[in-house]
Amino acid sequence: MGILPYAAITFFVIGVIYRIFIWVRSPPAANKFTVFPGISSNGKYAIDLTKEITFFPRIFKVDKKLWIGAWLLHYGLLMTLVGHTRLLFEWQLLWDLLGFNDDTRDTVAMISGSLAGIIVLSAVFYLLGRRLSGTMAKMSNLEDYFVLALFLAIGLTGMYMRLFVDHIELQDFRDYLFDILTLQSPSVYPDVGPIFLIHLLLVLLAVAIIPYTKLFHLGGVFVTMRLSKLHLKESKV
Amino acid sequence: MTASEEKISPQLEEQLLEVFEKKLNDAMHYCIESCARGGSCNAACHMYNVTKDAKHAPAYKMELLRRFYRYYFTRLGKTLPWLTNAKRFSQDSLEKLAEAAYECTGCRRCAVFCPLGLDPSWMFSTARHLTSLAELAPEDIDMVAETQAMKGETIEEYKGTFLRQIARLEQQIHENLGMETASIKVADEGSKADILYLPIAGAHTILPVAKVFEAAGLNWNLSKFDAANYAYFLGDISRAKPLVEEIIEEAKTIGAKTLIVTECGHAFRIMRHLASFWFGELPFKVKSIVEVLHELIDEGKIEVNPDIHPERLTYHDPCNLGRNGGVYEAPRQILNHSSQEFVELSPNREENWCCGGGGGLVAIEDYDELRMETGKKKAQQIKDSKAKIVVTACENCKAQLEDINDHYKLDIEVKGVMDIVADALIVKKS
Repeated sequence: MGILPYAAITFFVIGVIYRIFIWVRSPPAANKFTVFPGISSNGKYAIDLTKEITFFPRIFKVDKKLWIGAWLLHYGLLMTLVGHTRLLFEWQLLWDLLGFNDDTRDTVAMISGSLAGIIVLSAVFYLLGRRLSGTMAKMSNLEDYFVLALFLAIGLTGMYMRLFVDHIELQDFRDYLFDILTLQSPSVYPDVGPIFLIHLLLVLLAVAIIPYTKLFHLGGVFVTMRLSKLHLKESKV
Repeated sequence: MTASEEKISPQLEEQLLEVFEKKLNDAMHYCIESCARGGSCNAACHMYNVTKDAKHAPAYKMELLRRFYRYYFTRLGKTLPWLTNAKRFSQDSLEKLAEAAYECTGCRRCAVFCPLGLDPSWMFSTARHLTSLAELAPEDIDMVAETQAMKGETIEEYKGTFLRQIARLEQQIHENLGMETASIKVADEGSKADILYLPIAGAHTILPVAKVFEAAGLNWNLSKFDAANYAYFLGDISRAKPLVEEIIEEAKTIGAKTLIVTECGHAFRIMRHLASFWFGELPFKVKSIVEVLHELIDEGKIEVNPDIHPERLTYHDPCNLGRNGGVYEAPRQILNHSSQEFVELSPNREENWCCGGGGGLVAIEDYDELRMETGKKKAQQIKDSKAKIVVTACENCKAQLEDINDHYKLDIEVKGVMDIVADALIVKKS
């Protein structure tokens, strides 16, 4: 548990560098073929890209069911990610502003955390079911299922701890993660049992494989969208 | 081992790999490594929408090619092919790829709706090139491409016939249209003109333009060449390039300032967007005839009478003028000027449904049935618009729309933008 986070991050960083190397080294598409109408200014492109990655309007236009699944998965994951920051530090200023006492805070965290878990899990179930039939099954490979199964396992172990582990000593997590982030060997290991260990290992695995799998679209979208959309120099007319 | 899993010859495998590697540009890498395989593209495809057959799903087509990539270009795929579903080239797998690659109109509607901005057409063009090397391309296209290449090399032999045909066309203009001074000059060694007009075989792409250009008083020459480029449909750029080079040389010879491409989608895409990447900056502008007609109306060089077309009329955006070319407003302006009731199809512009005949499909007899089946989306769209005339600006689309009209009994008339302008043109007798 001391060394694994570093291993995962190293694997991740090497992968990202490798992927960038491959992409930069590959020859540029001979004809920068915009899907017209392209966007001709960087500013407008930034606004448009923000819209695309926030609302997924393209999916919305062609497949409403997929849009619900995709949007819930991404935003459910974002929600859980934000929630997990409490393992690093307390949002004291926010609670003060909202006027929450410790009990209200815990209740709010409990409800929103559970909600996020349910959102992620239902999205994963839907996407998995969708992938298991017809054309989707024919075009899918092990990687597609592995990624979904990974999210499923992370979600299930997370929800288990939320529902069946009575008390979590947040301070232990904060000390542990602080030590990890400041490159010290952990002075304390949070004691939540084997389920926590599995949960953590799976998360580290997910982080590590991002650059080696389709999960790379997480960062890749910022590059790939450019090619078909941004059309800085109007072709001479 | 069954016959269908037959291995291909080592020479062919090497040849395929060489081309595959050359085709691996950044756009291809994005499709291979960043695609989340969610299937938005499938939902966007007119063909898949109708047939629901996996081989028509863009995401599935891409995956077929990606399997080869994994086998030849990734270590994991090479060592553990079963784990990543990596595939070595075989007769069977290449046949599957060919089917997927050619049963696609290349309209790029999938690229419009990819939430990651990927452009599957790069993958499809590679798939077409690879399978054509394996001699799995539809024979019709391959044959026409060969004939065309030969004709380009022996253009002098065809010149006599061509000039006689043009002389007959001139006669028609004089007699039928009452434009006695009109002439059609074919580009030649000695001739000089501001404009080189690139037609497609057939009087229908020359007559209306000759009429309008005469009325506008333009100084133009007719190209000896044909705008169509069948090698391009095969994804075979090495065979597509020489045809383009001949046209560029012809335009240079007569000192043309503008090359005007007739209503032909892929020719416009090639001349406008690809030619300068292949041969460097061109010494002339490239315009679609549609853009030029719009300019002529806009600048008052010709006048049109909207009352000639009292019936409801709509416009079909050809993929190569719209999504691939960026010409959206010119045809709409023209139709507003030259008809009484212009309505839009829904959806339109970059979201317009493909006619179902692109990518060379109209030229392949084997695909006639598929074309009619997958033209269903277009037929419905036209029905909903309640238009009597469907106007478009691509030879490919026109042929397909005519066929759809017969097949679905739409009772419409299919016309080119240039036909509309030529019909509505107010000819001033001098």
